[in-house]
Amino acid sequence: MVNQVREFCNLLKLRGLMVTPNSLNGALEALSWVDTLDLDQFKTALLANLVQHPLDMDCFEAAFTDYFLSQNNMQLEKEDQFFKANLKDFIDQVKKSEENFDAVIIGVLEGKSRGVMQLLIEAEESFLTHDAEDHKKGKGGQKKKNTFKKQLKMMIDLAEDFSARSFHMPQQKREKLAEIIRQQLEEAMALLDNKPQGRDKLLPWEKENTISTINFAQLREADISKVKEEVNILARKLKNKLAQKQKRSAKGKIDIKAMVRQSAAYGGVPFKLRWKQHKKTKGKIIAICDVSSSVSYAAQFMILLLYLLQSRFSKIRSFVFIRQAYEITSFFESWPLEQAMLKAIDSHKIRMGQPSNYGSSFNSFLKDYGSAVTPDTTLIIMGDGQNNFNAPQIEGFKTLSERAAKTYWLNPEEEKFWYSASNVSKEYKPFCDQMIECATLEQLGEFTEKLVF
Amino acid sequence: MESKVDHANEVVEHLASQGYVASQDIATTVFLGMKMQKPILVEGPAGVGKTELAKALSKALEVDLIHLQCYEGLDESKAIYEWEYAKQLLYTQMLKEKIHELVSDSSNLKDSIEELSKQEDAFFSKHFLLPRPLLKSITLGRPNILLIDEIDKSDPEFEAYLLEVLSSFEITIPELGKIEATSIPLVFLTSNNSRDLSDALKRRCLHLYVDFPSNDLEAQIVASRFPDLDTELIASMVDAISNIRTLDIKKKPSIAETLDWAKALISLQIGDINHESLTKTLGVICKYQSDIEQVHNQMEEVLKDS
Repeated sequence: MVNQVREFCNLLKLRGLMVTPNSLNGALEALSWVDTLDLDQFKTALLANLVQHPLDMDCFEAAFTDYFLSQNNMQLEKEDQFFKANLKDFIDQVKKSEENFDAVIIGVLEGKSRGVMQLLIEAEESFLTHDAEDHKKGKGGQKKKNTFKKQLKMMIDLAEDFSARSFHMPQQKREKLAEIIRQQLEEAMALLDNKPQGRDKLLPWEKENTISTINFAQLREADISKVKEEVNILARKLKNKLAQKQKRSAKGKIDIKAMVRQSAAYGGVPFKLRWKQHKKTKGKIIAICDVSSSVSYAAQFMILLLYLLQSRFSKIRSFVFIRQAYEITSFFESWPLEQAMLKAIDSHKIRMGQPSNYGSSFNSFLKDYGSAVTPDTTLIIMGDGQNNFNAPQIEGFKTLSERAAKTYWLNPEEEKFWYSASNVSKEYKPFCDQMIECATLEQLGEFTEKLVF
Repeated sequence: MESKVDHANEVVEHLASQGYVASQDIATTVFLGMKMQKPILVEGPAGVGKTELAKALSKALEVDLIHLQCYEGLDESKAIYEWEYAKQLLYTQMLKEKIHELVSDSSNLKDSIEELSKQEDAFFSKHFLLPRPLLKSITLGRPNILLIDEIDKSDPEFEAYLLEVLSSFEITIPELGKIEATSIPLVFLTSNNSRDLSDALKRRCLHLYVDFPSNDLEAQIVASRFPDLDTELIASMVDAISNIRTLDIKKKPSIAETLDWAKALISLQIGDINHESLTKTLGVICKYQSDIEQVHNQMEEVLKDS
């Protein structure tokens, strides 16, 4: 049992979960208290000790199923002796085959997937070490994995041939046999392809593909919810950092009134000093975002992040534009992200897909909402500056930036493209306090941190 | 905590006696917490019964429940202990003459201070110590359950104070030294995940994630709280709630909302879940106007199983 649990922990580590020796000891102790023959209790004892974050639960579930449960074994249990005899025939045939199949692969057919798991753990462990000798072995391990995969593919073909030729079995049984063998082999193949799935544990060369660093423009539909989750985590971290900073710098001016009031409890002796609380909020934020397709996601995430941090500001107002600016504040205050955007677009009848025009948009903003920009306002523009050869009409933007306390421009386009003919970023840049490249969540986080502190 | 429980299934029974229908994983983790004397970190969405678990268990085991509600700015003086300054001051005033006697033989200020400092222990003794929930729990002298509620709402520094208590069940007070637990409490920490807790804290805990229950379990929970409610009505309610949870809404209804809904249906004497009754009672299930509108717009989808 101890070895199995240790091996299972290794598998979890391979899949990116942080399993400390302390957790392993905890798991072993927990198993001594529960009925290990009761699957639920057994699983919960491991789960309670080895998983430290709800987001790692799926990874644990998958590893638990792979390691301790084999669907196929259960399926096999249900089949009759005749069926099992045929499977044995196939295994004998494979053993005699000229291909010289590895014993571990044959073990898979017999329902012993743990052999593959062990092989995988050994190969990955040596692959991950920095020792030259081990590294060599690691490469050998990788090579072995590839050979195994090749053999597994060959065996799937063989199984199909075998079941097709087993005329002594009813067709339904033949199909079932082929299906079970295929499933078992494919499961082993999936194990060999296994990748770390834990939240934090990404290998260095995989880091470039994390949600935080992936370019907003390259996000797939499936990534959106993950980015939303990351934006939430980012907002939480920023809030924590802010709270800590405020606490550290809490000693501002002495609050005489509060101190005198409190001293009454101690016969007028001022036992405790009271300090005036720092003013928590900063000024007003006005976010104006280009929502033409290329910038849409970046804009949405920025607005979401701002709203998650809204307690930090006295007021947030958000606007979108393509050719004209529209206020969308009320939508973001009462609807989740995607719906807010859809409702705003629908309500204002914004025609998506049109080419953006920064000049006319800033002018329309100045005309309709210009009075909202006051000396305590921080103006944030989110846009790639692709003006589609329209005139930049600098004056409107200049007036806005002069009225605001600070003007920041977040540009999802790489800096080298700001100076191309169709891009007007270079025209607006002199009127901004800062124009920042902001194409990933990481960059957005860096900017927001600067903004809230 | 000295446990009266010898098997995980007994936890299910104990909790059931208080109307708390626990799944096997909840019962097993609680059982392990008792046996391994480790704190249990209970995470999950709001309203799934995290706090209720500790309350129900304390009632079932007939032990004290010491509740520490966390919030931003909570510090050791509110959570662990505090010196009773007012009492110390009062005693100083009352013992003025005695103090005068003590220092009467001293010829100078230095000697007087030295004489007084010998008596410092009298003022920094347990007599003037005001125990807050954590200290109270470990010095209670009898089994108890310590509920540290919404730990994620407290500041990260507060977690550091907790580490000593949770790992060795002792508290160090500079003036008095180390105070060891006279009875080890069963500790529950609850979190809604509004911020990441430190790895050091997580490592010291057993983890229990309480998610929205399965339909069957939720039906059992409603039935246990409202035994007179028609089983078919409960099944329709649970189906509708489970369908609402699949919608992209701001606040998904949890068990607390299901129970409130059941109460509302009883009060309004509604015996059937349909378009009209759901519209009438939607305010009990959804907490945001936008969510109410969304459920309203997707009524067919919500009521497809009812």
